[in-house]
Amino acid sequence: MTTPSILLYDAMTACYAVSVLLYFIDYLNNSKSVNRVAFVLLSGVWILQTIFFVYRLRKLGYVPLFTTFEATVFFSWLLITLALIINYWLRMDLFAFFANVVGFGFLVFDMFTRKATPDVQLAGQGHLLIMHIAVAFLSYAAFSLSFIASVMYLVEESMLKKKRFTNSALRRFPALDRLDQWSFRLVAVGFPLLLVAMILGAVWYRISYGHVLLMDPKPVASVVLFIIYGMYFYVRVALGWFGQRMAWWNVGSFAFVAFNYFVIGALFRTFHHW
Amino acid sequence: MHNIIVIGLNHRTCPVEIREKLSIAPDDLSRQSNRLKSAPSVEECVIVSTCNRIETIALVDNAVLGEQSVIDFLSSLSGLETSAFVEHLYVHKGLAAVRHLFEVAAGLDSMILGETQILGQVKEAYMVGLHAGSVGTVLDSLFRRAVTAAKRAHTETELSQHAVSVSYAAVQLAKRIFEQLRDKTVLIIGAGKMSELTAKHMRASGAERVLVTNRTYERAVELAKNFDGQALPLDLLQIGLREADIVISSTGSADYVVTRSQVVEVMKQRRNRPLFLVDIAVPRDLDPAIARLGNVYLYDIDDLEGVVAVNVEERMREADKARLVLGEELVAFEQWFTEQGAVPVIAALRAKGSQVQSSVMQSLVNKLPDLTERERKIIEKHTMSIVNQLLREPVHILKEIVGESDANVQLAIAARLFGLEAEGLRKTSVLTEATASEDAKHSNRGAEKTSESTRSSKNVWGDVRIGQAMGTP
Repeated sequence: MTTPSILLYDAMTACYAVSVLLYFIDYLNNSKSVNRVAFVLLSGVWILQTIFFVYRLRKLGYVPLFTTFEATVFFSWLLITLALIINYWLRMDLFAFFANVVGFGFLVFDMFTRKATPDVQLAGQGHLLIMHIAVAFLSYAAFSLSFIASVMYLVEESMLKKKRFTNSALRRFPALDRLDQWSFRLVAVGFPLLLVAMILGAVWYRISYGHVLLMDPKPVASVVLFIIYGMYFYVRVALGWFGQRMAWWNVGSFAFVAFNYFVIGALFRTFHHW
Repeated sequence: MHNIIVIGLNHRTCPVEIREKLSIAPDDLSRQSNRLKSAPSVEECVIVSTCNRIETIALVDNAVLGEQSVIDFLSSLSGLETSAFVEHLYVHKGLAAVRHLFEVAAGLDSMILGETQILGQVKEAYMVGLHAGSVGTVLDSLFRRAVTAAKRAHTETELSQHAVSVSYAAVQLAKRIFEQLRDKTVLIIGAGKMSELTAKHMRASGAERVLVTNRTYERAVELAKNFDGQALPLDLLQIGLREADIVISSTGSADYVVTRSQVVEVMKQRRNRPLFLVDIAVPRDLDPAIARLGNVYLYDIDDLEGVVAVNVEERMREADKARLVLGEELVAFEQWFTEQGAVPVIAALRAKGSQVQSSVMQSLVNKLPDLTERERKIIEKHTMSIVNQLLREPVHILKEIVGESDANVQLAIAARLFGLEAEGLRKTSVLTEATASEDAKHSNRGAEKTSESTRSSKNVWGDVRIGQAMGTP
């Protein structure tokens, strides 16, 4: 990376850290002004990330999505975008906070595990691959947020069931039905995106290498993932599941997303890094 | 600021037997305000009378005398001997009085901490005083400030946001499960007072559809009418449970009215739509085992009271934050009040300035009778400009002076420098007037007499005080 982009990246990470910290303080102390500052900082992070992304794009001459690092930055950019939208329009600030924690966690995780070897051979292989990666991450982002909503659902429901109305913690949670609704909606967004990403990937591979890739661990895992999320819809629509059980199913599904991303991506690095 | 006094009593200081004698009917408030205003030493006044308190906020020219006037007024109002209620009274003066009023307006002094009804009552009392003519510059500013302070306290803290009644706590809990109550159906089992109240709160929070079931069907019909709801015979309870999202039960039944197996059955029919049940009956109506079912949330009266207890604590914490907000407004009011001390001197200074200017203009016109209208106007404008430019800084400094410890001496010097002694300063400000009578009291053992004369002719003070300050250079 060049110096300006390192500087940009560091400034962005620092802002991000402070913003997450402020959201946490706001959560503990319930302070509107702290929340506002955190929101402004987060918007700053978003702008920095956008600049960073565009700068790299122009510098490198291709859409920077090919290393784990680049993908992570893109992913956290997606999460911040969604977190900002959620905070601003849906007024679910606690949800936004958790989205940030996940996004920031990703960035930090990447920082410590990064192997800065850009897979340049993949670069410049056309729009299909870029779209495959971008859409896949979009679906992961939707699944992540849906997962957050489900975890929040489980926490809130358990507090309500145990009659632990320890006020300040509970009060910031959105109502149960809203969390359930949003986790469902987000899966409903992520699911077709996953399908699109898989198709794009398959088509790209077919064009590039002349045959369909089937027995690679990644496509196999992705198909399993697709089936798991498919079942999610089935139990909801056909069996009338609601609430807690749906939330657990969703948490399980996301565990497989994480498995798919980290374990399959790391253990079987044939050509897929993530 | 010690000439602002608040004398009152409330639910904590005074038993209801005495409180009720002191309450004033709304249509009588205007008359009583005027009556108090005409009492000795009282300059301005507002009376806030609610079922929990009576507060008399008055601006007086002598704190001791004013206090006596208010107590006499309360005595005549209630027909009680002073000794019968004086021990229940609290008297606040100056800053403490202002703070007390702010806290009352913000609901910090209320039986239900942080309630907002009192703010409306304070506003109403102020409006009555305004129309009756018992409110002058100082109380006008004070009450505006009090309303602003209270509003800020409510919006900037969560003082009024935690449910502190059982029925409202039920609504609060329902909102943890349902984002919107608008499209939800409320089922009332047993037409008791409590369930009615809770249902009322649910309605107020948006729930549109109400079903009522009761052992005696007629009573159910009657209650349903209150809510534009539907009555349901008790044997159709199962249907009611299937339709409802929120169930409020308070029957006198000794056995469980709704059993676990009933709810299990209903949940299947509901396709697991969440069900929120509140059991406010003792002995309980709803089988506690219901609570363990998925997507079913059951709370009894103890749970709700637990919520209330936690919320009361929460409000107390918020009250501390609210006091900080009130403190800021208190400082702002104090600032305004202090500045009022310079008002008569500034007014006199300005009057003198324009008087000098107009007499100069007059002689100019006499000497130069051929001036055209336009020329005259230009000269008029420019001479006025000289006066204004000359006075700008003194006026600014006068406003600063009043905040300083030796303000009286400095103001007197300023007045002397500009030769403002008698006439101009007779347009008095109440603030300095009271200070003057206080001063007079200290210097003169015959305090009553001085105050008496101060009161009878309210213009006298200027001479007294300036005289004092100047007599001892």
